[in-house]
Amino acid sequence: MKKPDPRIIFALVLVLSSFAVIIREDLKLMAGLMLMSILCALAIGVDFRKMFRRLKRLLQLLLVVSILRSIFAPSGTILLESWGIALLTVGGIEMGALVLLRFGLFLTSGAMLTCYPVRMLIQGMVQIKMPYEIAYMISVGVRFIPQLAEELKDSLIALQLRGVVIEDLKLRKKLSLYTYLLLPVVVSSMQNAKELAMSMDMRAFRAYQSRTSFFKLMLCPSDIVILCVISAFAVFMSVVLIMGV
Amino acid sequence: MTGGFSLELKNVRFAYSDNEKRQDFSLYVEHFSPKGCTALMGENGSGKTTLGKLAAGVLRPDSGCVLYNGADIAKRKLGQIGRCVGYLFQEPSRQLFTAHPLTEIAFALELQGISKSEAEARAMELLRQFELEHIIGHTTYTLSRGEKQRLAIAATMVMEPQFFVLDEPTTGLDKRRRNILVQTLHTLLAKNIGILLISHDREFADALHADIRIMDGGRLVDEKA
Amino acid sequence: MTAIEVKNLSVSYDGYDVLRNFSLSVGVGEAVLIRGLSGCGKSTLLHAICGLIPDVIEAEYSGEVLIFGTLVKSLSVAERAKQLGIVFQNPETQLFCDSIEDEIAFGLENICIPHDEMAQRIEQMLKLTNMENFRFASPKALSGGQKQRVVLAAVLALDPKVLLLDEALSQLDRRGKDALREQLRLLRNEGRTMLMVDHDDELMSIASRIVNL
Repeated sequence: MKKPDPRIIFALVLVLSSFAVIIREDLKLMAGLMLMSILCALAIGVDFRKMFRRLKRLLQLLLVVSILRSIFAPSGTILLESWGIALLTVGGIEMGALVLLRFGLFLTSGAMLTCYPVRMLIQGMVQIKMPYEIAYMISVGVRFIPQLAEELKDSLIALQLRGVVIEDLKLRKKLSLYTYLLLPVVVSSMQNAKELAMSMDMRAFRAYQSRTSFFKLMLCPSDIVILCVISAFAVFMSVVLIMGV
Repeated sequence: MTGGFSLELKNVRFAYSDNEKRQDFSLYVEHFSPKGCTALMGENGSGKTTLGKLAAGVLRPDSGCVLYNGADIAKRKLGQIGRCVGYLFQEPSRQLFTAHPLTEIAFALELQGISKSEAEARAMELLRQFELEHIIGHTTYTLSRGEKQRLAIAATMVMEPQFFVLDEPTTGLDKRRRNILVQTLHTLLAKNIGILLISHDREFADALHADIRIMDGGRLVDEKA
Repeated sequence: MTAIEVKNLSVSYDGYDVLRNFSLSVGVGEAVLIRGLSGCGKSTLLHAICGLIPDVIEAEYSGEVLIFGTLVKSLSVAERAKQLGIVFQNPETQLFCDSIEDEIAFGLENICIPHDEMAQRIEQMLKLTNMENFRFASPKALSGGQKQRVVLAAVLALDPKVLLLDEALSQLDRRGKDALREQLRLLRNEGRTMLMVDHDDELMSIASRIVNL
């Protein structure tokens, strides 16, 4: 099946993440929203195995938040107690779950966007009237992140090959190492930025207020149907929230 | 290598498991024991940089072993390996960490607990040895590529490594700077420091009287052309 | 007719002279090679000719650069792109799109070429640089030499009257160098005006005139 237009996904992400922020304490509603976003993500083709690997770390966060909430704002049945202090309460777990779901929603939303080539996303942004300079700035930034990571890796290797055994250093010295890594990264980023600017400039970037596009996004009928469904969903959720059902 | 240090790779296998771009690549080297100055040559993607990184302990083999003086380095930390191996990256600015040439050489010593004054004295001595005194007042990142390379080599020399791996050192160097680099490397060879040169620059390899080994498709193809 | 006229150009960075009173004129149809060691001001000269100094690169500068009789400073971005195309040294920072097709289209989109003409020019450029089979490939998947050919295609798509090359071969391996040099030879034989700078003698066979800096 053809993927929906990226602009549809922008709308979906906007709706999902807004509600993730708006919903305060209703765990059931949040869980419903999460289910909905997982279904959407599956339909678009998000690789969930990769996502779950990332989510594993979030599970620890859930535990920490639950414990903190239980200790400092105990509510509901106490599940675990020590010297008269509630360590884990039902209310605490609920709050932890809310935080987890909220993060999960942001993650799935982000993952949906990464299913599209950068070029399509830029074009989507441009066609919803975002200035193309900004759209390009974002895309160039994103594109250079992997290169930056590779450079950082090389620098870290080079630093160790200077005879610095990182594993044996005391924490304070270990931290000071990071200031050393900063210089090569900053220098190369600035150099890259300069070279990119020259290259783009000479290929007439920002020659005019607007530019034509060889590649264009077109909404097809199924996109419009999906957009209607998303709007209906947004209205429905708003009603539920306002009425407090 | 001569002078008591030996580097040996035995039955080394390696593949990039996490790199989609190089999924078809696999390296196998039955036995490789470079002496003196050895140049690895071959097309892009033939595995010469990979072999260089394996020799320097930067990459670890999937199976087989890398031996320094007969001892397997599998359990050594990279920082410990750095005390016998130097590595020059193709892009020298990735291995310059401070703004001043003198501190560039001295800081690694200081991190190991050597006093600032002694570290700087040794740094000064190295700058002199590599004829880099004229760059002392400059900032490292405004130096020319050739000077950055020689500073990186000098900085690595504080650890008194016993061999050096150089990855495409002549990229972007003009003739005059290439000749200066040849001289610098001859100084290393004179000190009995082994050199493993990764390059496609035949002229440069010949200027170092390197033993030339050719790689293709992740294998050493042993015709000494 | 003169394509490029440099008159008494001096450039210095932080009080450090890089070029002093340099003059040069390049006629239409000429292929001039400027030779000199690193740091002698070759790249600086090209940057000044393109008007990148002082716009993108900060430097003190005096003198004049005329492109077909017009001061480079007074050219608009679009006009300049139609007069001058430049291939820089580092292929990594000259490619920033998802596909080769996009890369070639980038400049054309900027000067608002209509869709059909764009399609035609993209086709031509892919053919010219022998990159037809890579049209939808990502630049990341290409070798250094192929990348530089894509840059060349992207620059030539704008059909600049003068092609500038800033050590365009220096970061490539032998095979990449040979392929790109052949491309350039074809362009020169077609009579394209070229100004090249290089620290090696690799482009000598293409040059119609050599200037030592």
